Parts: sequence; C-alpha cells; structure tokens
Amino acid sequence: MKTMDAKFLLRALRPDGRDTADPLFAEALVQVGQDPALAAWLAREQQTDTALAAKLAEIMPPAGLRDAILVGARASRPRRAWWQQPLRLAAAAAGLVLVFSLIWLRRSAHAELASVGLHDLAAAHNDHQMHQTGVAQLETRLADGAGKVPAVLAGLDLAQLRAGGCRTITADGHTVFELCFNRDGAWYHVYAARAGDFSATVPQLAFATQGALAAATWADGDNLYAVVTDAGTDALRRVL
Amino acid sequence: MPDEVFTQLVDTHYAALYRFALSLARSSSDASDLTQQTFYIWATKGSALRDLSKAKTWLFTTLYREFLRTRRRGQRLTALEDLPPGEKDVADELTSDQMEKLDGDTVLSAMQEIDEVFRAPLTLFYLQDLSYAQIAETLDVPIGTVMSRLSRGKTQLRARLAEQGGVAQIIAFPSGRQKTS
Repeated sequence: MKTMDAKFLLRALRPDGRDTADPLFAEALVQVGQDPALAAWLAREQQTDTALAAKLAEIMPPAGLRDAILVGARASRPRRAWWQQPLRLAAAAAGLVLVFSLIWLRRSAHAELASVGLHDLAAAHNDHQMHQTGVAQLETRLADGAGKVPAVLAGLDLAQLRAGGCRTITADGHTVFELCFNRDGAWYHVYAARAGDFSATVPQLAFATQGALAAATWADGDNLYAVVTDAGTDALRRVL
Repeated sequence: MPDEVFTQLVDTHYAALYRFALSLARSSSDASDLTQQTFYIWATKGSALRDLSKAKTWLFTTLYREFLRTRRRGQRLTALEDLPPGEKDVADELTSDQMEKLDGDTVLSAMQEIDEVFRAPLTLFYLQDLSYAQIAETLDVPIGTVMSRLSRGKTQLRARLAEQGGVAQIIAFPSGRQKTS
C-alpha cells in the first residue's frame, strides 16, 4: 500500500481507538508499524483530531433546549390507539357489549336508549389518533373557544362528513361519525349519528358519567350527538 | 417508549445532535429547531424502532434529512467534488501553539465555512459518535466517498483555521481540479 493510500484511509480512523479493530484499517496500521515517518504522521494527525474534537465538544447547546425537547416531544407523541392498550381494549369490549345489549333492548320497545348507547360507545372509543384532514375545518371550528359545540354542529349534514372521509364506527349496522377537538388542553370527542337509527324519542340534553369520562347527548334536527371528555363534567359543560 | 428511556435518549444525544445541526445550519436558533424537530420525529415515528442500538444513527440521519428538506432549493449542494482551481492546501498539521489558541467557537466557525459536503461528514467525525461506516449510512453515501470527504474536509478545515491564526504555512495546491471518489 502506498503511503498516500494509507494516509487516505487513516484520516477516517477515530483517534479514540474504537476503530483500530476494523479490518478496513488493518493493512494501513500494519504499515504504520513498519514506517516511522507514517507513524509520526499518524500521531500528529490523531493529536490534531483529538484536539479539534475537544474544541467542538466545548460548544454547548442553549440553556433550555433539553427541557424544550422533552416537553415538546412528550406533548406531541401520539397516544396509542385504544385498541393497542389492554385496559382500553377491555373497556371497549365491555362498552360494545353494552351498546349492542341496549340496541337489542330498543328493539324490544324500550325507548330512550340512544343517548346511553352513544355514551357508552363514545367511552369505549375515547382514545385514538386525533387528526383527520378531510374534516379539519370543522374540527378547527369545534376547537375554537368562542363557539359552543351544539351551535357549531347545528345543521350539520352527515353526508358531508362522509364525503370528507370522517372517521366512522358502526353500531348495529348504523354509522356513527367521530370528530375530535382540543380546547384549553382538554380533548373532546364528538359522535354524530342519524337520530332515527337509535331512538324515536331523544332527550334535549342529558349528561352522564362513566368512570373518568363525562358525556353529554342531545338531538338537533335529524341528528343525534354525543360529546365525551375525560376532563370532567365541568369542562364538558363549558363547551355546551 | 417509557418516558425515562426517551429522557435518557435525549440526554445521551441532544448535545451532539445540536453541534451537528449548528455546523450545518450555522445559526443557533435553526440548530435548536433542527434538534427539536429530530426528537419530535422520533417521538411520533422513531420510537417504533425496535433496535435501540440503532437509535443514534437514526437520529443523526433524521436530522440531516430534515436539514436537507428544509433548506431552500437554491442552496443545494455545490458540485462538490469540483473544487475551484487554485484551491490551497496547508501543511498536514497545525502547530501545538496554533491549537492552543483555538477555542470551540473558532473551530465551529471554521467548520461552518468549509463546503457543506465536507462539513457534514467532518462534523460527524469530530463528534466521534459515529464510525466512518455509520457516517456513510447517515449521509447515504458510499464509504469511499465519506473517506474522500473526510480527507479533503480536514484539509479545508485546517486551512481555514490556519488562516484565522494567520501563521499558517500555506503551500500551493497543484494546479487543475482534483477529483474524489
């Protein structure tokens, strides 16, 4: 190996010794052992590299960068989908059993079940990926602290939700649309369905809680709505 | 990924990532943004990486790609392997006196002046976190190219440092253009 070729390789050798066992450098290092001039060059090269690495290590990140990374990344990390969490999965299963039981009861002429059914369905689906591009504008309006949720949803055309690719879930063959928004740090989940799919008689506005979840349901025109949050009933009332 | 593992990952790598970003972006605020963005991407995507031993290379690769992505097209890489004729080289080593006079800011400033294609591998080399093979993987270039860029990058860096020191032994580079692999 020519000295020039050996130098070419050895310039990529880290001076801390971590690369000396790398076969790529083996021949060049053997040559270093046989060529005092090359050995002297490598010693100077590595001395310079060590010094420059130490100088570079003097550069310190701005104060606060670490905390900003930790807080920012933690806040932006997606929560795992509910079906990826064992406890949520169990809750979902229980909720769905309850929903279908209630739907079965409705068929048996027991009315006023839609709100409870939606509530439990909402509770089961409380945690999931948040953003939907096709209905982003509506979710943004829902997140706007100036508007009450029922007012924002008034006159909502469910067909437009479908056209916008809104996420849906199916209960007893009926489609339920799902929207999510955040106000003041709290997440809210809106469920919308055709009222006729769930009950002939619908309450004006009803509240319910299940564990840490608070839910409200109401009817507006042909639609039935439920909004669910884990931020508590007071937080729920503030958006209604 | 548990919070404590993520915190450990940040503590282990954020300073080196910031230094790498600073050498690329040349401004502290941009470097901070790049570093944060890298961990943001890790938090949303990279945490799915099963082999945490590859996290370091993943982070540097992601930061570099983010830098390339966010940079305006007009600032794309110069045709690197063609240095202008008349480029000068310095003697292989800086004197110990010269080295003692240097501080971190001076080294960084000189590094920021060299051609970007040399700057990225050279910074990674001096951070000492990555081997030449990992640098090649991070920058998505062949190993031979990394070695070539390290060799030439070192020459450029030392030339800049010597210029700043004002005592360099400058020697003329052979005329004509030099090709690298």
